Amino acid sequence: MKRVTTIVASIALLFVAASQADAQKATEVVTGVVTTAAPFSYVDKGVYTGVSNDILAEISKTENIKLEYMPMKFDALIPAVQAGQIDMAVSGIFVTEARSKILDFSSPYFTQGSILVAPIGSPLKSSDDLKGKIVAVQQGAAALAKAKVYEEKWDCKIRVLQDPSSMQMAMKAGDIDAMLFDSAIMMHQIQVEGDKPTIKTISDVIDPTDIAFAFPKGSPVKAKIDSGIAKMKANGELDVILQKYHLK
Amino acid sequence: MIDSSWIGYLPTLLAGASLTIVVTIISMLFGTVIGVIVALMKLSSSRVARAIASIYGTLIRGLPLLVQILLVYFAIPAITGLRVSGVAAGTVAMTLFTGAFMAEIIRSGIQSIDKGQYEACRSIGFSHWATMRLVICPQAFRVILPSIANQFSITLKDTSLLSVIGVVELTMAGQTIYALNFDTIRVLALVGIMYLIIYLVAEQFSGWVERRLAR
Repeated sequence: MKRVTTIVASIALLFVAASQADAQKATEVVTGVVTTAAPFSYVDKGVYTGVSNDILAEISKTENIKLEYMPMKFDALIPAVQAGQIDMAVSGIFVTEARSKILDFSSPYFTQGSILVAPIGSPLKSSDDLKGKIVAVQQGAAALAKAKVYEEKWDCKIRVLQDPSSMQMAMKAGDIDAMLFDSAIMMHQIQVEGDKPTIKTISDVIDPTDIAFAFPKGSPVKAKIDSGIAKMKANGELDVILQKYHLK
Repeated sequence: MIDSSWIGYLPTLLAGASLTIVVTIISMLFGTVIGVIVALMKLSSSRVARAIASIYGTLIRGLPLLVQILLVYFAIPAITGLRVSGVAAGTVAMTLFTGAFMAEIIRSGIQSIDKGQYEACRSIGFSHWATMRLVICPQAFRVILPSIANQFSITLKDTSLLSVIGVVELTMAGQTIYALNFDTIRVLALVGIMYLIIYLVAEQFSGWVERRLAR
């Protein structure tokens, strides 16, 4: 009996030692994660989920990374990387030239653009109908940088709002006529709403751009994430995740 | 995906509400401590102490709270190289904010007590400290209690601004729900009701304290 106890105890000790060694090896990465960007990054029953988070969860296993989550609003996300508050930014982040100057990006895992959306009952049919109308763009979004160009091209007025929910509320209230937002997120919403749609798209996907994770300049984390993404592309895991969210 | 019923929203919102309450209470407690110190500095005979207290008051009351929150959150790591969580930075910002207003409340409370009381105390041989502790402060507290309750409601509601730096307090908890299912109005209504309940409980409490002191 005593021997059995000794064996059990030593196995338990070994297990503890092994798990401690594991924990020592894992790189801790403080991850700023946007909680309002379905289908890329959101919270469901207290768990960070969505395409970007599912990919990260997979990478954290293959590359032995420990993710330390910090929830964020999108407009604070990139400043938080700059300020060194976080090691990695997670949402559906567009890789743009302006951002590349201040951040490092992982290799892209998806491509999406912006799309024009109007209320389901709106008389607007295409960007040609936008003359004199008000179009909302999200604060801090990639589309914002091009808002001036669109403003002239469509002869409309651009209004900057904080997040897609406020944009949609403003649209419902009739305060704005249409909104320009991430195509994948809008398509996802239309999918979720099913046979009771509240919005419709009135343009094709504009300016398709790569989506990636962002890091501070010269971050050592980038190489690990890149290697993880490469593995997922090779073994088909990435496609499985994209299909799960109807993005492929 | 998400449970879109009133009951289904409750766990997320209650978690947010408890964080809102915790941040509010911590900010009020430490804000009161700061308030007492700064009020005494304002009333002190030292010119340096008065100057420091007045610069602090001007900065906090002159800057929008949202700017203060963003400054604390982004400036602390830039200056010190330390990483602070949104909750920590947000609580610090709310405490500094509450402290400046509490200082004003406490100062005006102390000054509202008639000069004659100090003179009376001196004539019966009370020290300055005993005068403050036994005579002035108890009366001042009764005067400022409604203002403290008012400050509580301001601090409580302003914690919603912490959502910008990712603190999942009551407002942000609501936002994370309707970002997913777009049930905006129902969720916001529920969030509003929860703020009201917290406020009403605090109001009842301050009323109870007031009645006890009146006895």
